[in-house]
Amino acid sequence: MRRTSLPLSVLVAVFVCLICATPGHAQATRTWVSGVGDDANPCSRTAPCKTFAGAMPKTATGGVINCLDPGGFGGVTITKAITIDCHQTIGSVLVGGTNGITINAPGAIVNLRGVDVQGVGTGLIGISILAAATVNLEDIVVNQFTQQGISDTRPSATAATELSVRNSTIENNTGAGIYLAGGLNVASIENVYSGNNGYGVQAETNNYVLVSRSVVFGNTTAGIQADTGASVFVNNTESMHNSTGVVAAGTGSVSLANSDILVNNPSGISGATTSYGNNRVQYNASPGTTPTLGTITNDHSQE
Amino acid sequence: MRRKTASRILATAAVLVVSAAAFAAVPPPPPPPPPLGQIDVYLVRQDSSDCQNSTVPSGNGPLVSGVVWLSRGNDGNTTVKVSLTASPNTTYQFFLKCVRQLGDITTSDEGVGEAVFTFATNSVGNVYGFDSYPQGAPAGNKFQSAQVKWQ
Repeated sequence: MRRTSLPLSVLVAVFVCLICATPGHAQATRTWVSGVGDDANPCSRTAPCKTFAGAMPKTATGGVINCLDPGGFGGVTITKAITIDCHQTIGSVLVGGTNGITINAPGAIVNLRGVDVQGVGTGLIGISILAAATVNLEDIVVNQFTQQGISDTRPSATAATELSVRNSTIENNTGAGIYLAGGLNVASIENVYSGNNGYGVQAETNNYVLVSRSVVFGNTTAGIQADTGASVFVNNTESMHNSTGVVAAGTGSVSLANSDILVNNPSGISGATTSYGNNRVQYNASPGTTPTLGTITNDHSQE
Repeated sequence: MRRKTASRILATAAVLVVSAAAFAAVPPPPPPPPPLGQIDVYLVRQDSSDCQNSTVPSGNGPLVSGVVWLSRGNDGNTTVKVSLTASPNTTYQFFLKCVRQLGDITTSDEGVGEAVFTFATNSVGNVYGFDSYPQGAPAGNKFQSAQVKWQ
């Protein structure tokens, strides 16, 4: 009798534990942050979190973090597919001495929309992209960092990684406003103001970049620069009041179409660029190197 | 004659001894002044290291939480500007590591704190470090600077 009573008590205890065990919180596909939230909350609409970093582990992979009201939601490292969308309010990240947003999510799609990233003159990199398949940045402000505004240093991959920056302002950063230095990478920069940085846009080898309907203004080294091995296509864009308007360094390639290169000092264009013959290069201290006009037999044909 | 010679020898010896003593009393030349200039190092989220922070990584990475800018002036002082992003509304003590506390940094409700300190340049050598943490901080809320190395 005594031999059977002990296992029975153990079984009862295990059963009671199983009944009483509290289930873990499931990750939500949509979470919320608020200027008056608390990271101890579940990040729901009625109990929002305080920071992006607090909401991140409570959001499912591929889910969305929305901003409920204006606030500073702190720096964050993104390690999975996620969308942060503060489009309808002020969603700010303010940091000193560190990066604003770091994206280190191999293979993931990351979307940031309506986020204001402030480095207050001491932050390092505004948005640092270390790993991801695709990064979409829309309605972003990146201001006052001591290194780059947006830095894409994803390593070489078998398939090209993608970056798109749309409707955004990148200004007052010591390094490049947008710096593309990763491996095989394709970037689209559309309707972007990149001003008062070291470079407006700077691309390194194996980066293919389209700069369209954008303004690069007042950058201390160059408005747009393609370093050796990079290919930059500039369409319907203004490069104004930089040190050099457009630079093709080494074997870097820049193609110019329907763009203005104005009031740059000391020169408008440096290096071997190609043109569709419909650009306006004027009022620079020196026009610099005349672009090569394409013919109908090569890649830079006039149409 | 012998007495004169002996007395000359004694006098010469005395002069030599006095000269040697005088030479020995001359202080050694002062060490070269520390190099002036500016350095910046990262503040890294790390619980501990040695007095010179020789185990703290110096590059930008996910644990970097702040920057320390140092400027050696020709007035004999080193000025330290610190910018840190950490826990909101928290006071961090900031130390010239293993030497003394330089002061406090209080973060805002977004976790950003900045401060400027000064210390005598000759109170440390050319290699040292800083650390920072709230009083009685648990592990995980402490920061070490990368090693400062003046060359």
